[in-house]
Amino acid sequence: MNIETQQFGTLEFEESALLTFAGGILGFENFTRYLLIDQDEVAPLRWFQPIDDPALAFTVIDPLLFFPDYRVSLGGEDRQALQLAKGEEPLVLALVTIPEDPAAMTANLLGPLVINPVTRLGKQLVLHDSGYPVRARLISDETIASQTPPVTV
Amino acid sequence: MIGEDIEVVVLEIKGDSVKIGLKAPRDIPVYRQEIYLEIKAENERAAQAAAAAAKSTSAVPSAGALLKQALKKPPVPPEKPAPEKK
Repeated sequence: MNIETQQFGTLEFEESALLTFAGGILGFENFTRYLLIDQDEVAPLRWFQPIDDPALAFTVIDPLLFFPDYRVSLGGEDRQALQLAKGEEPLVLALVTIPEDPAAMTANLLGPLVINPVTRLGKQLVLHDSGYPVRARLISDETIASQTPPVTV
Repeated sequence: MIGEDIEVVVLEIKGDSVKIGLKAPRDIPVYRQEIYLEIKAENERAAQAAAAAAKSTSAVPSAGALLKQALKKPPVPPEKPAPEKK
């Protein structure tokens, strides 16, 4: 398959690479198929490209890189939606909003994306009562200062 | 009642506004719509920002570079070698 994207020009991909978000993501309920695209220039950010609107492109990040204590708990319904087997954990990604000043970019920790890497089914979770912010600064003096050094494994 | 478990209760009637509560068993989550709206608005903001960034081509890579740099910061400041005394 291939699509014309604003970001990457013609994008060729295997159908098996598609991620299916059956309910879309909030506000984009009709966009159910996405590609996760890695590009060295933007790493550690990754592109989250909706197939149904090639003019759009989201950016996501592994939230644990910047928020080592971040935890996402999945309900039974969520596990079912992703067809996660017992003991399996999903890939967790946070959508990143990049404003004009990139240093002010924020990650959405309140509504993370969870993906079953095996079934390639995904969903945007809504972490009610988690207290996680919808806009968590990724780069700020505060984050850098308060970040407890992760233990190297 | 909604189904067998959920009860709608009128908490207060004041003028022309009515406060309504829900009584539901613990295992049925009752969510506030604001949270959904907040995430929806942020998704839209992210999409818009991405569209704007795509036009300038450098915005996302420079955001990535900033993050890369932040991650590179050594978690523990490197120890200064003790000055050797002779």
